Amino acid sequence: MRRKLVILLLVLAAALTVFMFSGMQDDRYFHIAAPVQQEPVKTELSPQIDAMVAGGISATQTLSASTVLVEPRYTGLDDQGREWEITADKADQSGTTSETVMLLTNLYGHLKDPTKKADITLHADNGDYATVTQLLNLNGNVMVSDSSVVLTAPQVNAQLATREVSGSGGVVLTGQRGAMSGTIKAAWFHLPAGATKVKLGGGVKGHLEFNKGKNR
Amino acid sequence: MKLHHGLLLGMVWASGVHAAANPAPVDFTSQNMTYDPKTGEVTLVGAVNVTQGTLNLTCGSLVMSVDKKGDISTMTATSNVVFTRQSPNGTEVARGSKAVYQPAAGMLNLTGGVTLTRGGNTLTGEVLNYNLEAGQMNLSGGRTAVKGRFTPAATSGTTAP
Repeated sequence: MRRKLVILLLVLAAALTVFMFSGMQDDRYFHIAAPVQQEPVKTELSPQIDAMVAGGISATQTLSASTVLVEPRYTGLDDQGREWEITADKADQSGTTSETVMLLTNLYGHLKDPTKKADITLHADNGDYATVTQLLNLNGNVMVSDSSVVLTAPQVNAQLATREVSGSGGVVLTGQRGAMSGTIKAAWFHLPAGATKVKLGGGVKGHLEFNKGKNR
Repeated sequence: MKLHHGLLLGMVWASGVHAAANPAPVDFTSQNMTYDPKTGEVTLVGAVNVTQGTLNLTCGSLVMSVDKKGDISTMTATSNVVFTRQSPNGTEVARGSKAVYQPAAGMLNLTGGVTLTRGGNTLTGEVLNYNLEAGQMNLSGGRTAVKGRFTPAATSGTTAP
């Protein structure tokens, strides 16, 4: 009896199997795809790297793709051991093993000086910094300030190693000293390395006001 | 008396900077400039032109020192210094090769071929020291004599007997 039952179940199972797979096609349920050759990922290089490629790269240099950093922070020391710090919303960092170029967006800088009460602060819409030259180029709504004066210009160059700063394209210097406040406009400005005096030129125009009642 | 009024030019310039509670704003132009944020010193070089109210100063170079309170402590103008003041009585002009003004002491010192003119009156000398607080001035000729030329104002009517 049990033997007949087993045979019956085997027959039913065989019939069910035939019914289920009667409409199956070769590639409907099982498919192993052949390897497909794809185009390699294209990497866009910065203009500086393009220029280096055009000019030839030495065997010791390795070309790398640009890397986007979000809210990066760079720090360093100048020739006199004073700290500087650069932060930005974004940095497009590219270059070689021997030089890195950073394209910065909405950047802020702090040039610290223990001998002064306040840091020199920088701000610009855009900028770029090269590690070899340590030159920071600032563009768009550039502002340089310390505790007493604020200087604005469309374009400013800052050498972070020596702290030589210059700007052009229409410079506006505003500041206050005691009861006197003023605004000075010029075509360009230059703060030489190690100097304390700011030079302005290309035609200078100034306006000074005195408000003794307010400050005394 | 007319001579005295003619020499008030420097005093008026000084009073605009020193005596008033809130001196009139100063406007200036030049070719180049240096500014020392630490000391407050401003140096203007090349075609310097400074205006305050009715006063005007032109020179080749001007160094303006400012103390921490915001007061101008010293103004030193060199090279073809010309003070000009427009007044109801006419234009007053003082010329020299160098001018030093110290507001705190109220002293104006003009040297080097000093010429003072107001209307038809002219005085020439080498050194002018003017105490602006006391209203006293001393014009010396140095190696040459002080020279003056006074033109009486035209009057109408008859002379008293």
